[in-house]
Amino acid sequence: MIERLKKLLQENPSVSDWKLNIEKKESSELFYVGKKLETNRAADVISYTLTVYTDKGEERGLSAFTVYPYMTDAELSEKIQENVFAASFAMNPYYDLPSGKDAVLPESRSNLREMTLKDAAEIVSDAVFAADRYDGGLLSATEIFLDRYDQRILNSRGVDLQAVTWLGSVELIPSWEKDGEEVEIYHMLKFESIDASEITAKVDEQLKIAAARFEAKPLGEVIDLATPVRVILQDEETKEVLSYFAEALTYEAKYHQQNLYEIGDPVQGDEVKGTVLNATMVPYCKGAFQSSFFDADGVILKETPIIKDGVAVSLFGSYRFGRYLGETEPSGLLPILKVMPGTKPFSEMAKAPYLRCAVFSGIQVQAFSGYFGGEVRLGFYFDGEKEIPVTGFSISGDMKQSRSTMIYSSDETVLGAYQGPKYLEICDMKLL
Amino acid sequence: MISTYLQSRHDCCKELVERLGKRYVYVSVLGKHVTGKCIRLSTMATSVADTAEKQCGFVVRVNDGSHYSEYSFSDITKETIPEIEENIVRELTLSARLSAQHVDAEILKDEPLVKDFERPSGGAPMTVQEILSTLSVMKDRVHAVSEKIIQARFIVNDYETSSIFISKNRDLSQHYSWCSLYCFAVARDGDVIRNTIASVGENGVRLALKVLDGKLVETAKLAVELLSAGLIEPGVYDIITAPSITGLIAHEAFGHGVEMDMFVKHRARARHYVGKPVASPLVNMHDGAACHVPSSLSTITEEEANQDNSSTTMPCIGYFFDDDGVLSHDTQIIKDGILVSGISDAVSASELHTEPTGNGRRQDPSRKAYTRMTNTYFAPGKDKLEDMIASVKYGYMLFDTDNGMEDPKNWNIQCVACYGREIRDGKFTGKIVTPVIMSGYVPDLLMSISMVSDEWHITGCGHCGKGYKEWVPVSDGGPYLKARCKLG
Repeated sequence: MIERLKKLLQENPSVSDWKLNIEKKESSELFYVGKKLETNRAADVISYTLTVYTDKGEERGLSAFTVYPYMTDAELSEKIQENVFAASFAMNPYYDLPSGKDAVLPESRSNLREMTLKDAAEIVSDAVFAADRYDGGLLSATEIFLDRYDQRILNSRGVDLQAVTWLGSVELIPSWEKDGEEVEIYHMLKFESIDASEITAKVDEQLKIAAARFEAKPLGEVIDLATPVRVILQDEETKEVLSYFAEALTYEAKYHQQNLYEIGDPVQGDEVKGTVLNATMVPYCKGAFQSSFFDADGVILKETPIIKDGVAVSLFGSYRFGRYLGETEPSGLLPILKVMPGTKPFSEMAKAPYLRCAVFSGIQVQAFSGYFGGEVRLGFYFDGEKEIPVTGFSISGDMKQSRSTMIYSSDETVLGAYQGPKYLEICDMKLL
Repeated sequence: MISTYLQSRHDCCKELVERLGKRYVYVSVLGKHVTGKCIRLSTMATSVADTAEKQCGFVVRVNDGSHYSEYSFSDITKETIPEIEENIVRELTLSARLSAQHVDAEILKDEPLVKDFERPSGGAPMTVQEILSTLSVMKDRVHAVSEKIIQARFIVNDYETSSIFISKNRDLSQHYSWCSLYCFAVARDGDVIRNTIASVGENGVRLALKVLDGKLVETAKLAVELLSAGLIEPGVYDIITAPSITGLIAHEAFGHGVEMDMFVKHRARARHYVGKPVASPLVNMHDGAACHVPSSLSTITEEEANQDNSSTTMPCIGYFFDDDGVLSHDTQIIKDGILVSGISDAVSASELHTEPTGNGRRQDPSRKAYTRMTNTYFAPGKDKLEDMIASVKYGYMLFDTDNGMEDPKNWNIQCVACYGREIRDGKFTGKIVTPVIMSGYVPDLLMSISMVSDEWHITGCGHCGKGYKEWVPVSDGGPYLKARCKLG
């Protein structure tokens, strides 16, 4: 297919440049209702997406389309011409494409290389259900996915990069039941390598969280919601809140005049009373399954510091918008946000009353308004002596106020696209 | 007309079903081919790509007498049939230990039906050049509203769906089109940036562009007005929901909880409430790909489908049969405040020993089918909107869906409206807030509904996930509702 496409693209004089993205996905999947298997699935699918570029003077148009394995040369040729024609009406300022460079990219070290996806799914299944051992607790539904991705990117400027990656995912619905009452939580566990005992431990932790939700009281019955309380966010919610700063520093936001900050701006305001932010976008972090050494344009990714000592020092993002802004070597779309942890351990944070928000329905962080918050499905109120599980409340805050006073923990965590502080302490959130 | 590609693979699928039928007690093949264009134009960039809904592939479902198994693949030809058959047997045969414990499900009904369904596109097609030219004029109109508008952005997603479903006794095909259109206006005043969105879903790009044209100026004006919006003071308020927010409540707060695969998994509190009151007696709620809204409501029955080969006028998510090969329905979920029925895919119905409702949908053929909503809405009432506003002592009218999250077992709500307008003593005060997060307990909200407007509409260009994945297009809406809710 690739050689056929290259030949046909070369034969079309209106094609100024091209890019081909290929993704082959193989998967093995198990779907459970309780401990009983409902469905097993396997997939072996491939997709080719071709982008053609056509130039007119100082302008460049582009059109992307799917190429199917069933297409004949005549059909492919017609499709290329049709999209060159469409591209000629979608003109933009000219930008070049990344050029091919010699690069030795590390190979995945996933232990999934050493087994079939079907065998891996069975190992994960055993590890998951090893944790399902409580009288009141159960996994009411479980979905297990083991995927292998073969990705390849080629372009007319010599880029030819490929990578094989593995991803395991388990969608868990841990539940807790007693005397006819039931509660559940949702958790998606993802990993690039299988560690059966770690999977069992993580499932066990989620079952215990379900148990805590069962015991949880409405927060309004525990404290007066009007009384100020320190809120502690953790893990995914910490990442979501800190991503506010990174998302404001992309080439695309700047190009579209929607950037919140300029280079040199103090992103946390003029006077920082909390932790001073240092953030870097990186291609790879062990355990962060969204790691990638190149992006969809074929840019080989390298570490890019974006915030130093609270000051914006660099933008990052897609090659196209970087070129529009005059960058000679745009960073590419770096996947992982790495934030330097603070100096205060959680054990220090825990010396006075706090409200730790453990399970959200989905935290909102809105770049333009600065609003952040959401409905908390499980929290823990620490009254100075013990943590009390609480539920039935929402929190809301304003990033423009809270950004200068947030305290980052020295405890670290690694998530799919994040490495940095695990906990975030915020003093000025409203409770409802 | 169904895609020539799927037509060319029809006989291969039939042969695969026949071959697999010697080994399995149930076999079906679904083939899908979704084609079209996604055209983006903004103040500073333009692009053309395949539709975001693009799909091309096949999925085989088999049952060996114990449980269901599926295999997804990209293409099938006469030559590759033996290889695909071999892959299916190899990849789907499980170890004895894994397959020993399986759910009790009936073998899916395979009622005989041979039928081709077609819904003509509503209007002549437009070329990429014509669409871009129209959008360019629209972009200038958005900018003309104010110098504070820094971006106008448009997305046109115009596509055609073809699918075939083949089993031992069924041989179905369908073809229909849809166009989703979005306009984003971004306003900036110093450090303050606000955006607004107008969305339109219609059967045909020409009609969609015409409808959007009528919304451009108000969308741009709203973005400028929101520059002065603040955050709401958290509290419990009387609210009036605009149809978009009514639809969000129907979909997120209640709809997910009546997806009957959630009943199978004991994940839905609603399974204990069938036949019981869950909402104010003013509330009636529907879902179905055969819903005709807002003009009429009807159902395609097997009998009607056999009698009439002409198109039906379907809204938004208007397929004729679902990804399980079950004909689409109009399911009444709540009748006069009483929960009367859930919605289901075929496998869940087989486990619950109920009839499927034509709600089995996949993100694409490489993924599993689940029970999914289609067009979900509250039915209209008798109240006039002006009377509803006049009845509010202190509260907010909420507009435009941002997002929402379901909690079917615990019935908690998180619905986010893009903005709200303050009402005091029955009149708008001019104060505007953004965003507005609604939270609370679902039955409390639904029971608090005290007025339902006679005016209603549905928006057909949203997407819905199951948990945090499996995205499919959906629509929702309904009338204006007066209720009471926690806002923050």
